[in-house]
Amino acid sequence: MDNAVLRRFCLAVACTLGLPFGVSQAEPPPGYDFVRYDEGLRVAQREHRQIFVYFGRYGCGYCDKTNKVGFADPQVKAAYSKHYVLVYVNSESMDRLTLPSGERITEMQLGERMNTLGTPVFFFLQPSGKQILKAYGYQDPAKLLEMDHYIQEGQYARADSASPGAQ
Amino acid sequence: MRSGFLLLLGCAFTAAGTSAAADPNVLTVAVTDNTADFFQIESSGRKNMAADDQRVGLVWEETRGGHTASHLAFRPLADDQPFGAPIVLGEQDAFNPVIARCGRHFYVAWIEQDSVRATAFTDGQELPVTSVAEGSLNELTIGCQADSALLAWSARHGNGYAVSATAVHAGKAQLEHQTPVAVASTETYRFQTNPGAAYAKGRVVITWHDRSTGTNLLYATSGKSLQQLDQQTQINELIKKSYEWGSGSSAVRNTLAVGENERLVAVWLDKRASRAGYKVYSAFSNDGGISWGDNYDIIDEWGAVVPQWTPAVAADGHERVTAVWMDAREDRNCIWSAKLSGMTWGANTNLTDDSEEVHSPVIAYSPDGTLHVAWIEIKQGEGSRIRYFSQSD
Repeated sequence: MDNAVLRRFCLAVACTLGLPFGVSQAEPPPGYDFVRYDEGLRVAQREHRQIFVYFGRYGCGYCDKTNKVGFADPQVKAAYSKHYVLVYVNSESMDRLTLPSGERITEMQLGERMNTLGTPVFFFLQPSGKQILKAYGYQDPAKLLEMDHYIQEGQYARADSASPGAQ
Repeated sequence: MRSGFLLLLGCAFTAAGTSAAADPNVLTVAVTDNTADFFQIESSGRKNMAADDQRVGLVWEETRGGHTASHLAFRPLADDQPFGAPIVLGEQDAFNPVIARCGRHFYVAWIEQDSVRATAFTDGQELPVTSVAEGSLNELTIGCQADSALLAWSARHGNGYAVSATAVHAGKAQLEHQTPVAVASTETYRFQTNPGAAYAKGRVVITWHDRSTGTNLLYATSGKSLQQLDQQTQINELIKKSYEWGSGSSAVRNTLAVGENERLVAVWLDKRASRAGYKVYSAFSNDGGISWGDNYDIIDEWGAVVPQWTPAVAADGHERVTAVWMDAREDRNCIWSAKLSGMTWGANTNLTDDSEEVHSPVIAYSPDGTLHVAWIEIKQGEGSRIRYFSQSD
């Protein structure tokens, strides 16, 4: 029985038994120190670090897959934990954030302002909050590492550098 | 090319005489030229405006005083008068203000210092502010049950959230309120948020979202009274596209209205589209929230390519039902609307065709069928203002 078949079998059993399969999907990936957006901006400005923002949604399939495949990679975890202030935004939350301007908006409104379209959406920001790179959809380990290299090597600052599959 | 075509089509809609900007009666409710000050029109169910046949009331948040304050302003409807001087709600940080006109009373509530505060205005007289509930609150909504108001809120409960509700009534000298009740089991539904409240067909209806199954689903709890809540129904259709990943589509930011023959209209943002973000969907209940029918998409094909945000719905209690929202199908944020005819939503119509960025629409109907619309307009680098207009058939 290969892994995919085994997973489907387990899911079917879980559904039959009424187990809470699928609960808590698409939270930030475990083992990472994600913080709120407003807190992340403060830390980044204080420590002059770049920011990685993850807009997710409970139930989001590609968030779930990115968490369990992309962020499960040890190299990804090491690189992202070292290089960025990690920010997670629940794109459906009505919790309020206080922006550096003093404006208080909900997490969902932040998604509206940053034109997130769907989930997952990933942003790389300068410590000031200025956007460097935006990427939509599922990201496998190779793509996450490629984007990290692109940011860390400063390729985004060179006009002739093609971004790695991002917008 | 395609966006250009869409732009032309959008302009065609606005040229048909449906836009507010062409109406000289667009009013400014509040304005700031300080880019460090902000307005916010935000509440659960987007219940920030209400009207009777003599005046319309609007509530909002602003930061002009150096902190978040909630304000209320009334506009007399006779002789096209402007909005009066704002009334400050509360004494400390106050947010999520809501307003409803129930019978001859305007009920107003807000969140202040971890407390739901409420008051009522009757014939211009304000009752003393009453604290209705306490807790770690973040969302509040309002609805009507005859001449009383229904208040429902979401508050922290352990590691999750719980929705509670109560009814408040304007007595001669003070606001009377019942003991709040829980709307659903917090063991089964651990993340109850974003409540809506209404009364139809002799039943109290509280709508709310919960993500305990792994995605946000929209539910209605109803009963003959808040103390007799006995029915619970899922309103949104769950669309699950992946067998392996995720838990399926979500429904958030529901807003409620009671239309003709006390038909309940629920409108929400639905994440079932593949690539274009949230769409505005609706469902109807003809039995006071016990059962809900199929889900209907309000967005036409021109709006299908962009996400929609901040939907609101209002009804005049007769045949008029209108939904509004914000989207950027014309490459900038505009306020769009659709009118309901029977079970069918009409064409999407742009209500704001001026060149400024706008967001956060709210609406209300007067008993005579006049539609009231308000929103926030941002002038880049020049501050922002709250705008308003009314429209009669």
